[in-house]
Amino acid sequence: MLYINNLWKYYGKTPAVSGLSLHIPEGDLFGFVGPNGAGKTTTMRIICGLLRASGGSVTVNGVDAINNTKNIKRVIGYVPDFFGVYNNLKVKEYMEFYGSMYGMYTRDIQKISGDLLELVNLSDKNEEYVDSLSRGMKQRLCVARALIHNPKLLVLDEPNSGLDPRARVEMKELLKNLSSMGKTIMISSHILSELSEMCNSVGIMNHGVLVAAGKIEDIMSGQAIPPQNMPQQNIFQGVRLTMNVLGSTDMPVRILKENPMVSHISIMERKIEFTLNGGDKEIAAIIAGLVNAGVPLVEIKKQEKNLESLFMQVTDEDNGMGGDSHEN
Amino acid sequence: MKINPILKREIKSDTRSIRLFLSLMIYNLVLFLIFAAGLAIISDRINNYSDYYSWYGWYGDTLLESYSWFASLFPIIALVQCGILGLIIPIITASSISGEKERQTFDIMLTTAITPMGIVRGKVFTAVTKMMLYVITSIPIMSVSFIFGGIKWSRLFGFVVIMLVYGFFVGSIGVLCSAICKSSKASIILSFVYCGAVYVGTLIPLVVSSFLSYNSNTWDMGESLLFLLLNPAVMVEEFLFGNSSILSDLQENGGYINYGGITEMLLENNTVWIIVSIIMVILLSYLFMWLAAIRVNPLIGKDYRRNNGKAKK
Ligand SMILES: Nc1ncnc2c1ncn2[C@@H]1O[C@H](COP(=O)(O)OP(=O)(O)OP(=O)(O)O)[C@@H](O)[C@H]1O
Ligand SMILES: [Mg+2]
Repeated sequence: MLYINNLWKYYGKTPAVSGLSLHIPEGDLFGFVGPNGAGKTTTMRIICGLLRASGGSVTVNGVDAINNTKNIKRVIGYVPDFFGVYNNLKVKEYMEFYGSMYGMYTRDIQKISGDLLELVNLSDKNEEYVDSLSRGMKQRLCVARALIHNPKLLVLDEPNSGLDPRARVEMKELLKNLSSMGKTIMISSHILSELSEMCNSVGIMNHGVLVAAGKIEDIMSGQAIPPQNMPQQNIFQGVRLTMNVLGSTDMPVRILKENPMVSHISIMERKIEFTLNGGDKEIAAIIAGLVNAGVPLVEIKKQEKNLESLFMQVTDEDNGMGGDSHEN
Repeated sequence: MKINPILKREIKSDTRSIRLFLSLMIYNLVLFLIFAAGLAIISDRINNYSDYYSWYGWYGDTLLESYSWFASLFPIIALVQCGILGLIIPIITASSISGEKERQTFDIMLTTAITPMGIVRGKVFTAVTKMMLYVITSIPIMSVSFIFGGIKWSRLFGFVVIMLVYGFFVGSIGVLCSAICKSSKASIILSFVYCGAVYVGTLIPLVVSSFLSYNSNTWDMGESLLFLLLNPAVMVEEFLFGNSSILSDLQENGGYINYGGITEMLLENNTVWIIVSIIMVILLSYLFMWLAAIRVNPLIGKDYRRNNGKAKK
C-alpha cells in the first residue's frame, strides 16, 4: 500500500529525515511514534505532497507520490497536526466545500457527508458553525473531511494532541472503526502506549531514522526487524535495568561503561537506567562487580518490558542508537 | 460548468458578515455624494444662465447644449470608481492566500485535488465577483448622467466590461502579492507597487523613444506606443474619453510624430485599440496568476514553510 524507500529530507543543511524506509501493508493501522523533532510530520507532509523530498521514493497504492502529486491527492486523506476552520461556515457547508474541491457533485457530497458525520458522531451538528465546535469535535470533523473523497490511505498527524481523555477514547474508537472498514491508516503520536492499544504495527522514529518497526508483538518480543541502516545488534534483546545508588553516580556509571554488554545508559538524579545484553547470570555479575568496587547500591530491578520503556530506550537523546551502540 | 468551490465558499461566508453590507453602502454613498455635488454645480450654472451669460452659455454653448455637461459626470464617476476599486481590490485580495496560511487552512486545501492554479483562479474570481458587486450596484447612480446627458446604452455595457477587465488585472496582482507576502499589510503595499510598476513601466519605451529623437524635428515613436496596450489605466482612459482621449489627440495633432505601421493602424480606430488592449491586459493578468500559482505550489521553488508559529531550530 505505502512504500517509502530511502527517503531524505534536508532543511538547509540539517537532515530531518535520513534514509527512511518503511512499508505499510493494505488495511494496516500503523502507528508512527517518535519524540519531538523526530521527523514524523516531515515524513507525512512528503507523503501528502506538501513538501518536496530531497531524495528517495514514496509510492502509495502504486502511484509515485513524489512525481505524481496530482493523482496521489485522490488516494490520500490528510489530517494535519495543526489546522484551522473557516468562520461563517456551517458543518454541512464545510463538508460540501471540501467535497467540491475534489470535483464531487453537491448531491453526492450531501449523501456521503451525512454518513461520515454519523460515523464521527457529529450528525446533530450539521447546522452548526464549524468555528463554534469544540476542539475534539473539530478534530473528528477534520477526520470526516479527510474521508469525503473515499481515500485509500488516511494520514493523521497527532490527532490526539489537545484532546481530553474522553475525546481521546472517542478518537481511538473512531480509528479502530475505520480500520475495521478496511482503510489503511497511518497515525503519528509521541505516546507509544496510546498507539499500542489500537495499532497493529508501529514504527519508532528518532532523529530522522526508523529505529524499530513491525508488529507490536514482534517489537515486544524483541524480534522487530532493525532497519538496514541501523547497527546489526538487535536493540530489543537484553533487559532494561534500573538501579539506585547512594551518593555520586560517577563511579557506578564508569564501571557500567567498561562493561561491553551494557548499553543505553541514562541517568536521572540518583537513578541509573541501562540495558544489559544478557540474562540473570550477567545481572548477578554486574551486581557483584559494583558491590566489590564499593558502590553503595540501594536497589536494582528489572524493568517490565513494556512499550514505553522500549521507546525511552531507543529514543534516548544522549545514549541513543547512533552513539554508544556502535562502540559496543 | 461547476462554480469554483473557493468562490462559492467565500461568497457564502461573505454574505453572512456585516462588512459586505456596510462597504457596499459606504461605496454607493460616496459615489452618490460626488454625483450629487456635480449635479448641483451644473444645475446651478444652468439656472443662473440667463442672468449671467444672457444668450450664451459657457464657451458659447446654448442652453440645450449645456445639458450635455451632465454627460461629463459619467467619466468622472467612472474614474472615481476605478480609483476606489484600485484601493479596495488589493485590500480584498491581501489575505486571500496569506490569510489561509494564517488560519491554517491552506495545507488542507493543498492536499485536496484542486490545483495551485485552481486555488489562484478561485481567489481572483472571488475578488472580481466582489468588485462587480460594487460596480453593478453603482449603475443606477451612473445612469442618472444618461438621463440628462444622453449617453448610448452601449457605453454602459462597455463600462461594465472595462471594469471587469480592470478588476481582473488588479485582482490577479493582489492574489500574487498575497502569495508572496506573509502579512496582509505588506501585500496591500506590494500590490500598489506592482500596479504602479505596470502603469509606469509601460510608458518607458515611449519615453526612451522620445529621448532618442531629442535632436531631430520629428519624434520617431516606432512601435513603442504599443506597450500602452498593456496599461489598464490607458485602457480605461481610452474607453471613457473616446474621441477626445489622449491617444486620439496624439493621432490628430501629432504631425511631427512618426509611428510604426501597427501603431498607426491601431490609433486610427479607438474601438480596435480598446479591444486589443482588453486582450493584452487579460493576458498580462494571466501571467500574474501563473506566477501566483507557482508561489502557491509547495513543491516548486523555495521550501514551503509552515506558518504555525512553532519555533524552529
Ligand atoms: N520548516 C522547517 N524549517 C526548518 N526546519 C524544520 C522545518 N520543519 C521541521 N524542521 C526540523 O525538522 C525536524 C523534524 O521536524 P518534524 O516536525 O518532522 O518532527 P516531528 O516528529 O513531527 O516532531 P513533533 O513531535 O514535534 O511534531 C526538526 O528538527 C525540526 O526542527
Ligand atoms: Mg509533528
